[in-house]
Amino acid sequence: MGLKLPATLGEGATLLVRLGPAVVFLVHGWLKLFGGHHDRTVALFLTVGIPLAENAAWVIGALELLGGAALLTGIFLRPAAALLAMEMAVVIAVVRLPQGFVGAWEFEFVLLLLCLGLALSPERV
Amino acid sequence: MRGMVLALILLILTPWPASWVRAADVTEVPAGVSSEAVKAFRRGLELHKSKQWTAAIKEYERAVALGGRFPEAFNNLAYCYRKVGQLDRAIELYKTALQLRPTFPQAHDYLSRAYLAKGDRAAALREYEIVRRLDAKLAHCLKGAIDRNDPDYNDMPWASNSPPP
Repeated sequence: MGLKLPATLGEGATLLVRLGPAVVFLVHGWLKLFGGHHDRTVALFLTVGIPLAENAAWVIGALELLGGAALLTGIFLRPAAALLAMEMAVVIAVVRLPQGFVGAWEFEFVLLLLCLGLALSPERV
Repeated sequence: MRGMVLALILLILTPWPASWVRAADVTEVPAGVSSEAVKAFRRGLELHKSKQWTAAIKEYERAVALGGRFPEAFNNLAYCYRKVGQLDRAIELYKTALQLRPTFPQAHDYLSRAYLAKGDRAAALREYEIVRRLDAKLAHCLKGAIDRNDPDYNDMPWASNSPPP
C-alpha cells in the first residue's frame, strides 16, 4: 500500500531532485561562458586530448547553462538530461577515472545517475 | 505547468551569492593522501630546495609509493629526474601528475621544458599553449625558455612548494 501524496507535494519533491543538478550545471555553465573559466576549460581539453578544444569549451559551457535551465524549468527536460548524462560519462572516462573515486569521479557519477534517471523517466518529473 | 511555475519561483528566490559564480582559486589537497606521504614529501622538498636531487628523489619516491594519487609529489619527483638528466622518466612522471590534476600549471611548464631539453620543440609549444591558458606569468617565463631554446632559462629552483597540510 503506497503512501498517497497530494499532487503539489509530489511535484515539489521531484522538483527538488531536478534542482540539485540544475544548480550545479547552471553555475558551471555560467563560469565556463562568462565567469573566467573558459581558458581553464580549454587547457583541460587540450591536456586530455579533446579535439577542437576551443570550440568544445564553448559548446560544453552552453550545454551546461542551457541544460541546467532545462532541468530547472522542465522544458526539453529529457533531451537535456540525456546530453548532460553523456557529458558526465565522457568526463568520468576521459578525465576522472585515473584520479580515483573518492574526491574525484564520485561527483560526476552522482550527476550522471541523476541525469540518466531524468532522461529515462517514463513520466514527466 | 504547476511544476514550471514552482521552478520559476524557486529560481527567482534563489539567493545566487556572487561567490558562487566567481572563479575560486583554492589549493587543491589530494584526497586520500596519507600523512606519511606528506611527511616524505616535505623531507623531499627540503632536499629539493638545497638541490640535493638524488636524495630528494628517494623521499619523493617514498611519498609517491605511500601517497598514491599525489600530483605534487609526481611533479617534484619528475623535476628532480629532469635535473639528473633522466628525461624520459621525468616526462612519464609529469604525465602521471597531469592525469591526476590536468590543470596543474607547473607540471605543464616543466613538461614543456623537458620536451625542449629532448629537442622536441613542437611538443614543448603544445604544453606552452596550455600553460598560457592557466598562468600568464608562468607562460611568459616559459616562452623565454622556448625562444632561447634553453630549458633552464627562468626555471624555478623547485616546483610545488605548497604541499598539502
